[in-house]
Amino acid sequence: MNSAPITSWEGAEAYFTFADKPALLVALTLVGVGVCIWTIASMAIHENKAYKDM
Amino acid sequence: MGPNLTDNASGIFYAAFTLFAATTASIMSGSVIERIRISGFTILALFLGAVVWVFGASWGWHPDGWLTTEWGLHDVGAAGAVHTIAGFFTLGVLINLGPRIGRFNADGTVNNINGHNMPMSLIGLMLIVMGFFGFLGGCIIYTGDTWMTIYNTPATLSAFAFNTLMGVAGGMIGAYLVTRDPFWMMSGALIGVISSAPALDLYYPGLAFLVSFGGGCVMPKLNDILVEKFKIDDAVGAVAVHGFGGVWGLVMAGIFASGYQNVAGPEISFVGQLSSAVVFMILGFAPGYVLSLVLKLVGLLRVSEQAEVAGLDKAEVPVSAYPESTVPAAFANDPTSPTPAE
Repeated sequence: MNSAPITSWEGAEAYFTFADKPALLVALTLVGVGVCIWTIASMAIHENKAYKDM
Repeated sequence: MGPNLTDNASGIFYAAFTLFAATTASIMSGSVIERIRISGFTILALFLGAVVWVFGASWGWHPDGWLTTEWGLHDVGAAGAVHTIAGFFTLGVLINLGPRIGRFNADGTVNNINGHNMPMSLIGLMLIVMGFFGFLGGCIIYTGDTWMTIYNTPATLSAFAFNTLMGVAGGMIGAYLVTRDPFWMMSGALIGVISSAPALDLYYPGLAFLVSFGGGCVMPKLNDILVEKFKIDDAVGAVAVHGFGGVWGLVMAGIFASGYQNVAGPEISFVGQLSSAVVFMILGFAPGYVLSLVLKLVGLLRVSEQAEVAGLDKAEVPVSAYPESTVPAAFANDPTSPTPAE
């Protein structure tokens, strides 16, 4: 995937790989939140199993 | 922010404020050890660092925050915005979490539960003291001409560095005097820094030392009251060190830095500092109590009794921290026995 919007560093100031696409920003945020929720749920499942196995 | 070659600052600010947010969770972490579920702790930490503390910072650790513009709050080192909020959030959690098994006897007397490794605890506290210099140095901004506080008032790096050092010294000496306990002596360094934090830019160093010395003398005794009278099992004393330490610092600034001008709003005053401290206490305590109560009701707050007695490392962690400790002593001391390298 070639995501680079520039072909030269000459005169580059702000360049965007994703930050100018709101839908992608929302998607990245949702994926990040999802990872956190998934991890916490995984923790709780692990804890419940660990206590049951004792 | 990035990648934006014209913006060198925003990422630094995001990282610094993320550190402050993580600090609020680390303040809570020590108090609740040995009986809180990691899933419940993570939910509490996320809520404290990503929601609760943000309100405190925007209300009182910002030039346009209403505590500053309406009441003249001065808290350059975030004693209230970080430490008081986190300390009182922790108090709310501890009430619902309850004490560790064996902490209190049936007649109400207190059993001391020793930590795993006192030298490592002291090294950890020393690392926090070292980190405070970066933490508080991160509370002022160099504009090219001068250093500015978070409220846009002028300050010097010199004042922040030296008054932080005076806070360490005063707090350590005070806590040592009243406890003779190395753990509390090093915790006293934290108390001292937090005590001086609200007015690091304004205090004469000798005054910072004495304000911190007072905090170092008082907070260990407050912790004793929490444990003995109120049966709050705070494993590291964070409610006293950070919660009440922050209140002490705010109130002392109201006494000794009263009358100094803020850029926006009224001048610093005792009433303004005390009222702001009460706001921070409530802002921390109420969500901590409510959220931990909800977690308790759904069974996500406390580990099972069996796991707590066995130890959470043993119950949940799939490795052993000290596997050689299972080697029988006689075998380990036998010079003819093979070493791990063999």
